[in-house]
Amino acid sequence: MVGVLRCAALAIATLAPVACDLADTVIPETRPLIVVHAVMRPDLPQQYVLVEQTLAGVLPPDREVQPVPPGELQLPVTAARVRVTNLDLSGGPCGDTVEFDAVPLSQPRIPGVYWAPLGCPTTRPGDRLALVVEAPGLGTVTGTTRVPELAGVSLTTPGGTFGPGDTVPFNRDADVLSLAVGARFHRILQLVAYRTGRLPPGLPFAQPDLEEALVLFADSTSVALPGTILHAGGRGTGGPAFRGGSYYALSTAVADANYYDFVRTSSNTITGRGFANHLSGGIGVFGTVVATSYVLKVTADADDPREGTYRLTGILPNAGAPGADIDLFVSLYFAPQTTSGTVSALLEGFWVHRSLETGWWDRQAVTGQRADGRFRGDTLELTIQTAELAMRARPSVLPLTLRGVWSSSGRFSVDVYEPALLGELRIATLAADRQ
Amino acid sequence: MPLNATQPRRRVTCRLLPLLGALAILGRPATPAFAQTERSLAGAVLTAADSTPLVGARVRLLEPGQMTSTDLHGRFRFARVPRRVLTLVVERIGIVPDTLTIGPDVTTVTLYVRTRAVMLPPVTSVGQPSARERFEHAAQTSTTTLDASEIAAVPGVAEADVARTVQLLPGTVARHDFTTGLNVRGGETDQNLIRLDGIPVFNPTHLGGLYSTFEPAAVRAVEFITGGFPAGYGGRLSSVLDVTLRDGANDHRLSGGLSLLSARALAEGPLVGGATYLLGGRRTYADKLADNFSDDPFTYYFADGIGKLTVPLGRGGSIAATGYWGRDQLDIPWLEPTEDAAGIDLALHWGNRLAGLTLRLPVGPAVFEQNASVSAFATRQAFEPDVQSFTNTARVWSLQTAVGMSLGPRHLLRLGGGWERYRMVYHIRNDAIEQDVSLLQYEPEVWSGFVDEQWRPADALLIRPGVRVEYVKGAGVTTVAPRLAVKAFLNRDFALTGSAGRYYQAIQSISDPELPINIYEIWIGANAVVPVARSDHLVGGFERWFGPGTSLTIEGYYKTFSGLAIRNLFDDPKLVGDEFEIGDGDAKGFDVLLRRHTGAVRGWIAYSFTRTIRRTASDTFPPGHDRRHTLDVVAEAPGPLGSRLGLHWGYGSPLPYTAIEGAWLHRDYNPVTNSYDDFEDEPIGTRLNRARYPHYSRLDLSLRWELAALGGTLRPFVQVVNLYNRTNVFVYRFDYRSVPPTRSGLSQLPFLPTLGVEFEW
Repeated sequence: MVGVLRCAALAIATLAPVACDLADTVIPETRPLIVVHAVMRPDLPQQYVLVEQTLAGVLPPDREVQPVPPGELQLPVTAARVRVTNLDLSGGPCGDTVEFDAVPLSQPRIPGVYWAPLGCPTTRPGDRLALVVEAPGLGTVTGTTRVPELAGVSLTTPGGTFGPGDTVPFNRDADVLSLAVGARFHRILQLVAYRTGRLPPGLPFAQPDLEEALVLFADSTSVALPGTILHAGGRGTGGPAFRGGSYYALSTAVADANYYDFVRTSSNTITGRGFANHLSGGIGVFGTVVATSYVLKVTADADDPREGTYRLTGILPNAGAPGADIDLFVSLYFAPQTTSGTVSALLEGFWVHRSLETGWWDRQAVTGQRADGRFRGDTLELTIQTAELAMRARPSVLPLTLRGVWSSSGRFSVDVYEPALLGELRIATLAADRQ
Repeated sequence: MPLNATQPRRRVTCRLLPLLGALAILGRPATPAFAQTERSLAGAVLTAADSTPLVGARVRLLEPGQMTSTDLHGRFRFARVPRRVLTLVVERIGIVPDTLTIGPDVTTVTLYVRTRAVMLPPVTSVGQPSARERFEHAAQTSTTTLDASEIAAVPGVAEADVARTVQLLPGTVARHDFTTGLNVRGGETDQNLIRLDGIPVFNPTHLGGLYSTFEPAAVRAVEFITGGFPAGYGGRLSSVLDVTLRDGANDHRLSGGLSLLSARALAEGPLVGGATYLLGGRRTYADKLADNFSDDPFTYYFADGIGKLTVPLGRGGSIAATGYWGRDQLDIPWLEPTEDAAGIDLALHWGNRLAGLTLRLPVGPAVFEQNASVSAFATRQAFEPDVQSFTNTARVWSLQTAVGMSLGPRHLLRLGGGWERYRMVYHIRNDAIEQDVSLLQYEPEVWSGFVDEQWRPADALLIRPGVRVEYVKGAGVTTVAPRLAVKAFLNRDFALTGSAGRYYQAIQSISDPELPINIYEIWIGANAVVPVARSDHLVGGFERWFGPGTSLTIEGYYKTFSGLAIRNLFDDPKLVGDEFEIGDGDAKGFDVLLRRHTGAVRGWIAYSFTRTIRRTASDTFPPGHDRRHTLDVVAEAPGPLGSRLGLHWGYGSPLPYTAIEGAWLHRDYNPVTNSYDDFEDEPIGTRLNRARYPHYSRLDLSLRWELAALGGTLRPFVQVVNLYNRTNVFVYRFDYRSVPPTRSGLSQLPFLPTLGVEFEW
């Protein structure tokens, strides 16, 4: 009976949606168009432009998704001529028109990516830039953009007021981050936050796998950002944007209308209409973004007895030599909506004769690490990923895994494991004391 | 979009089989042979001139010799009469006696009788349908009336539907099977004045347009005017759909139905002092069943309720209160929960609420009517918890006054005026940071006055001039809209007809009409930026009757549009006034309606030819509803096994769509890393609506039985949509990743049997 009623329920449920897929029919190829992605960043030393072509059923595109650059385009246009002219500045150090180069000296060659000389084009707030992309056999794309001005940024939390580049302590459960910018010639304020992700083995040259935490647009010059905000924009998972025990890069950017239209509009799958294209002769964007960044050191309120700061002490044996002291403070935080015991940790202290502190990934300094793990019942497993640790021996990431059974007394022991040829190897046992 | 159009047809078919069996068992205790020998017969007697209920008219059935009289609302009822062709006679002092032939399966009937004041030659009237009355006495063109039984007879999905039946009338284009929207003579779906007991309804649909909001069992009549409508109507450019609820019965009754879509019930009966009530409600139950018997939640339902209270006043007057409440609710898990995220839900609800009072008071030779109403539509779409929300409300307060009077035997004068105050709010808010993204408000106020005169200068000529004047406060616009309808009889059964008029519309929808489905209209109102739209109609044709029950109407038309607010897809949420661009256009064509009103086989054949053009500053294009040829055949006839057979076959020539010429990789820029992380394939549309879908056709059948059972009446029914399982294209999808490129798509309704039962005690 239940089966029949269940069938009936589903039949009713499908009454409205019922429809059939139509069989595939081969249709003619179409003429490819030029696609240009050109977001100018006057706050960065070097500009680049992506030139590719549309999917027209002529060439099969590579399906792999990878960040570009350093990744490669699916359907690059390799013989294009790319020029940007500052319409409001003549006789600047870069000349009136800047040619972008497909074979730059300062960057690895990526087909379809065209680089400007360092520091070019010269721009000032309010200047209008004109783009011309000529691609043999495909046509010419033109567009203009206006350079916004980001004159000043004020970031305030209960802990004080901070300037660009500062590391900002931020309690996600209690704090509201107030941000105000001084801006002109812009259309929109964009806030983007990324969490340090998995560090790739190819450090220091590879890009870290950053986790998008927040993408937000505000039609004003001031925003009050609650620490409990959810990440629902961009490629958001719907989970909390911030979690305790983690570092985040927060980019505060002002952008022109071209860029805003590029990110806020898209074409309907059925009608092919809806994307606000400001280019002539092709599709894509020629816009300008000016950004500044902060690092957020995020903590949280302790809601679980297992959360808190623990001091790990002990000796890491060293074959044939005196052992190395370990004295590390580990602050554990549960992820805000976790149902599986996910925890993250801030680390600070000494690990094998040197200081250790979690922080934001910095390519130049090759520093930055994160510690994520999980409580299964009272059993803790925490993985520390740190470039700094590994750099001592070799230029790659060495994850260390800490395992222990939490005790309500606040004292328990933690075993330390490192990867081995076959599985992993326990290298030490440390004492954990609740602080 | 609630449609999950990828559901394979075969699953549905097989899942329906158990339920078919279950309902077959349910019908077993009945005694079909007995039940099919008798029926009930109810009806109303109204004046042909202005539909005033006639009190105390004697109603006789000749052969059984039964007799009753009409009540304060002009209604009568015979409990058990033979199921055969009968002759019904209506008599009363002050009216022309009338007779009507009643078919064997007719259970409700409305008679329009002429009063003596009309001073027609003394003739013995023959039974004739209301359409014949209109033909003889009304100059108005382009008008079709449907009653509840005609609506119920048209086969459809799950249950009868008012708007779906109207879609089968000439001049009307339905873009696909999933919409109840009406595109009338080249007009858009927001250009129809849809009223329930005189109260305007903003968005009369459920389930994304699949069902209309009107409960057919509560409907007395539907009047549909596709052009040249008289001066009493204003506010829309293309059509009038006037739905009238019936009054409650004079004895207590409970009726209802159970279909694969919903359960519904309707209670009615008398109250003190001759007052009556009618109260109904329905609700879909897929969500409840799914909750109990499936692990996969189904989170959509709609519910609505309707009520009418009628209180008689002295000397044939009455005051009636009408109310409607409807709600559609859809919860979609937008971002599924994970181990570390509770997920984001998209919660949508929308619905209409309306209430109105209508006072109808005979004062000497005149009838005074006063209507006061409020109608509101509200929707909220929210990404929850606390991410972003969109709310849209549309509300109109309305006062309408009219006086109708007979100025001698050849003049019928109707004049009146009204006031409508609109308020539409369109609000997008970022709840996370508590900032408004967009806030638009429109508050037009419309003052109107009209004069509408029907003059019969000669027996063979009817002229109906009129004028409507409106002042749109907010826009600061005064409009003068002349109207004229003419009917010239060449003989008793043949008349040339024509009408012309100018029409204005102060509120418009900026929903994207090119989308396959719009859940509801998004209304904006005239102000200093938003224009008052205008349309001119010119209609000409003829109406010919073949005997008492068959008519043929052919009308050609030309229609212009200007001041149309056409959705600007690229509007900046910060700017006010760029939500639309101004467009105009025109439509021309002709409609043919061959209709059999009486007899064992009834129905109509409707054919329409239309050619419609829209123009904006940048393009001239056919709108998505520019269907050149539409043919609908609707019939009701005796069916097998003592059933009544309902049939509909429809054909539509290709509709326009925008072809896709490729795709591009729309990349995501990451300002932190200054790189492009990800991308989405995005289609590239060609010029708007330059391609056409294939031809459309569909055959639907229904069988209805009436059984006496359980002390009441049961009416089980079986319906089959798309009997020959034609694949009608709903939308195309293009894949330019493949080499060579391919096109696939989704079909409209496939072969789909449904069933249900209605009951009445």
